[in-house]
Amino acid sequence: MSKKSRSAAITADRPPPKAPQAAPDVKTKAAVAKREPLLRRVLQIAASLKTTVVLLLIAMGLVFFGTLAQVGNGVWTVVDNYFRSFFVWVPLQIFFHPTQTVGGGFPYPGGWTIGFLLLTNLLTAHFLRFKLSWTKIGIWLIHTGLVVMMVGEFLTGVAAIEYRMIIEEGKSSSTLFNYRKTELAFIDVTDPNTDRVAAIPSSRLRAGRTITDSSLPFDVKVVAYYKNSATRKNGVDGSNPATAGIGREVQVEEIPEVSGVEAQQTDDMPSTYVELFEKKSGKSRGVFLVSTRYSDQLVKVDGRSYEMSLRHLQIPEPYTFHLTKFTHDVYPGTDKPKDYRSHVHLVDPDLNVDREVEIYMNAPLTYRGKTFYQADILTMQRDGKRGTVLQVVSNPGWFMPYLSCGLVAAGMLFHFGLALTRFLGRISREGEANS
Amino acid sequence: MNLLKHYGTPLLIAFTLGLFGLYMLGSAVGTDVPLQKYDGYDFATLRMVPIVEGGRLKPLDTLARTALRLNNASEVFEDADEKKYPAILWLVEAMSADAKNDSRKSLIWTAETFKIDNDQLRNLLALKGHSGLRYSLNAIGDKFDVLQAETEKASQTSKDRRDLYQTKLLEFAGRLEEFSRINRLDIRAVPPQTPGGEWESLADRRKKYSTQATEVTREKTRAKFALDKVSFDQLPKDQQKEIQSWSLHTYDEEFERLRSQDVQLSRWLDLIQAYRDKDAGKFNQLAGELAQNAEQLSPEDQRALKLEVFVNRVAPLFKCIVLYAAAAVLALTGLLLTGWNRELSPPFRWASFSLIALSLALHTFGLIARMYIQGRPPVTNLYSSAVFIGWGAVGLCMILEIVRPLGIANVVGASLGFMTAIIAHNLGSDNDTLEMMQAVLDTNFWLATHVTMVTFGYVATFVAGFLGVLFILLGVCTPVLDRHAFKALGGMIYGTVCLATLLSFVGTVLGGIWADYSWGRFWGWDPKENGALLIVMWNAIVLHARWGGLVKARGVALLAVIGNVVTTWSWFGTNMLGVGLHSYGFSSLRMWAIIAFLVVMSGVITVGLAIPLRSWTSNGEQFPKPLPDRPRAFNRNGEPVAAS
Repeated sequence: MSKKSRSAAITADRPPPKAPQAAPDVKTKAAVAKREPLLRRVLQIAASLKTTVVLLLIAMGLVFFGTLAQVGNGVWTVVDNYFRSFFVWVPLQIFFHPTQTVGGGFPYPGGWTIGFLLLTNLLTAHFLRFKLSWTKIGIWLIHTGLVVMMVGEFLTGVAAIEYRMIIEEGKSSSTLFNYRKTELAFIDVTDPNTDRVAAIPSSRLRAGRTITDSSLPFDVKVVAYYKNSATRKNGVDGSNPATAGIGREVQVEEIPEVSGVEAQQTDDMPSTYVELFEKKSGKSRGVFLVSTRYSDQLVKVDGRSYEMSLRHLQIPEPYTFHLTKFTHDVYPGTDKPKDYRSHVHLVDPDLNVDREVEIYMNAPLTYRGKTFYQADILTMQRDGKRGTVLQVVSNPGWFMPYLSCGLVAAGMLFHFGLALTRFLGRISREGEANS
Repeated sequence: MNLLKHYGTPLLIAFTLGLFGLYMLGSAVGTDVPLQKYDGYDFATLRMVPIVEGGRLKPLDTLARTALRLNNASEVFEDADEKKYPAILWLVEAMSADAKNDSRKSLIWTAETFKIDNDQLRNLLALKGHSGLRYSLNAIGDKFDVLQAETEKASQTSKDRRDLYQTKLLEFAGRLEEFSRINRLDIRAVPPQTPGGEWESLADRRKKYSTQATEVTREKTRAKFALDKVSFDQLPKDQQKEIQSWSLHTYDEEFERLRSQDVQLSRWLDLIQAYRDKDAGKFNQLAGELAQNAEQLSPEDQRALKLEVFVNRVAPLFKCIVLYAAAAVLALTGLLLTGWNRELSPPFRWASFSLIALSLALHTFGLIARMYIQGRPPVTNLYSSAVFIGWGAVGLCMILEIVRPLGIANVVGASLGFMTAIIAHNLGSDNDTLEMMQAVLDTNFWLATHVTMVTFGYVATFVAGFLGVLFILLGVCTPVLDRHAFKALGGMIYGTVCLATLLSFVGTVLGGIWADYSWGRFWGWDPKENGALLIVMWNAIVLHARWGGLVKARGVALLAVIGNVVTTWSWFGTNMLGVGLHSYGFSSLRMWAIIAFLVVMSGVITVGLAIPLRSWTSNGEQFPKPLPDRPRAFNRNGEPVAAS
């Protein structure tokens, strides 16, 4: 077969060439395009499918890097740095095993940048390219669903808060803890009737910084802050920064965050070393160790007493959960958990609520805009008593993924179903042609 | 030649189905290793005895097979003369092994049933490498102290810092522990006294009586020899000896008295003794009595128990390896023949299609039996995901073959069936594959919807990817891709990618809904979720690239092949992140298998990308010799028109 007919055969697969008379028309169109205003050209690029493909590729890269990064970092650090950010510095370290140290990195667009660009691409495409026709209903549904999903994830990213409520069996609680946020709290306990609290969020606890609070008679100079820490096994040695308080007896060292790929997700235990300076005299009261690992310490300045602690952010709630009973079943002969169940007596005087509720795996309780999930079992080290750990979530955008999922699934079913019907029609026509 | 033309297809189908039907039937009727041979011991009854392990009810047979497979990497073992024995015999041998009474000549001491594939570990135990790398208990037995000391050291190193030797050492220690657990009868074989109660371990019962007997003996000895008044140490030597032998005797008597009141424990201890005494009659009677424990179970549990023993024996999912391999060979032969002599191709194509159907029937039986025994939807762990991916892929390919009878989907279906069966076999080698689920996963609804859907997404992505591989290889190397096949295969890949997008998207989102339902977080960006998201995004990229005209048939095929890599990452890669690649090293079979797969895929992509379409052996142009059973002419849209 000659070369000519070969290439002719290849093109046969493609759509038929335009009729000759149409050719000049195409040319003028191209010529017009060249003269088109810059804005229009930019919009065309913004709306093009090429841009979609490129953006999706970049997004895949981000998701992949964000997965690898979880070997060395906690999942929330990665979420904040990679997925809920505009730009991220991707260290080369993530491509290597943690025992090998590799420097350097490269900048990469973060989740918000990519999400915003994809959203722009989608919206401009619909304004510029798409026509409203019933065959395109599927695409419209899918894309609307995706917009809802992206907006929903954005909303979750900025507005959703996760707390935890911890109750010992037989005891009550009306406090929620935010385990992702820590604060250095000074509680003025001089007056036994009222506690005045001054709290410094952990984001301000940067080494070298001095923090002044008008309600405190002393300044706080941060010597060190560890996101996660462990008590030194070898005890205290010359490297101990502390000169006062419990820090003289115990020393902590920084350890890596709890890795995102770890099967057993535990909490980070932050610690900080702070030096207190009296405002009046400028005199140092020494360097203290304040840690979530250790209990409160009392500091007396100017005749007032302050309880100093590093604690998870606490939110008081107007209702009380009393854990009447906690059950924890395992599969016989194993320690694999089969079921956790919290029997809670819920009392809310404001709303005249006084009832029994059961919270267990896959059966959460929604109350006052927050949802309570059975998350974990708590075993007290001191007396072996048990308790429950409830995950508490408030997410104003919780319904958006559901909406989005429904839209996209319906759209895909419609669109691909349409394509399938056409295809099967063609097959049957071919069959007729064959016979 | 004429005969072959007219009767070739039915003949080859009949021959293939007959041959492999017999292969299947043979194991269903007979037994894997004949059980009756062994001096009249009724192992067939013994293996029906119900026990509880890993939180679930199972027959003793499963424990025997799991434990032997763990140590021996096989469910049968051989003695020095290469005579084969079943797992249940190994279990009874392991139960009756006794270093004191035995002169270490029994089967359990002499048969080579402990596989040690790490050379440093062999060095430690002073073992010479030989074929099979299996060693007898006699060979290891003298080095227990060294082993224990080394294990102790290794276990103090934290998990992620252990090197390969330490990992393997601890693995081996774990396997020996499984043996010793059986040896000391730490098996929950005592049914609950009251309904809903717990199954008790034989070892616990024995320990209880032993403690009681010790207590009673101490009291009796004190009373008889008036040890309150004189200290034992101050007595003369011969009197000390007398007291010792008297108390030993008393202990034995007391223990016998206590345990003989316990019917269940006694049956087991007597059964083991009967085996040691080579008293087959008594052994069989006791085995029968123990098997009657099943009668107090619910009818469903009894049925599940019987079914499990049957499935263990038939091993349908293991047999699928052979069946799919044969089907793949037939399918590939048929496909390659199209390029040479088209008339010879249909018999092979149809024979392979029938064999695939037969294998799928067996595969389905295995899958449904597992679901029935476990009372769960099909996918509950990595092993079952491999079984299910194979099943789905074969099913999907059969549908594709019916829609587009090119013989290509046959090849893909049979090879995916074969590969996943091999993967499943290797994944299931070190534990009970019907393990129980963590509390949060203990929900049939989400397992049935989310997990099944995501796994179907993997299926469709893999099928599209392997169709892509065939597209490139057939086009570059063979004359098979004529105009009709080129177009049809291209369409098949595209359609499958569409299906994959739908399934993986819906599956992933259902996972999000489950997560939201379970702990209030729709999307947590954890590695497994991200893996699923990557599949969805990749499929979306393929579709958009095609719609945007960036790629055509070849491009879609190439992108679909990359889909294989993305899916493999999601299936295995994310799991390996957690366990730490380091301690697994690059020596584990799984790691090498994945690397080999990636290399092959990159090779295919490179070939498909580097060689331009016009240089391919076949690239969709008109085949020189049009087929009689295909339309002879096409219009310029490439659509067939009736031959004039």
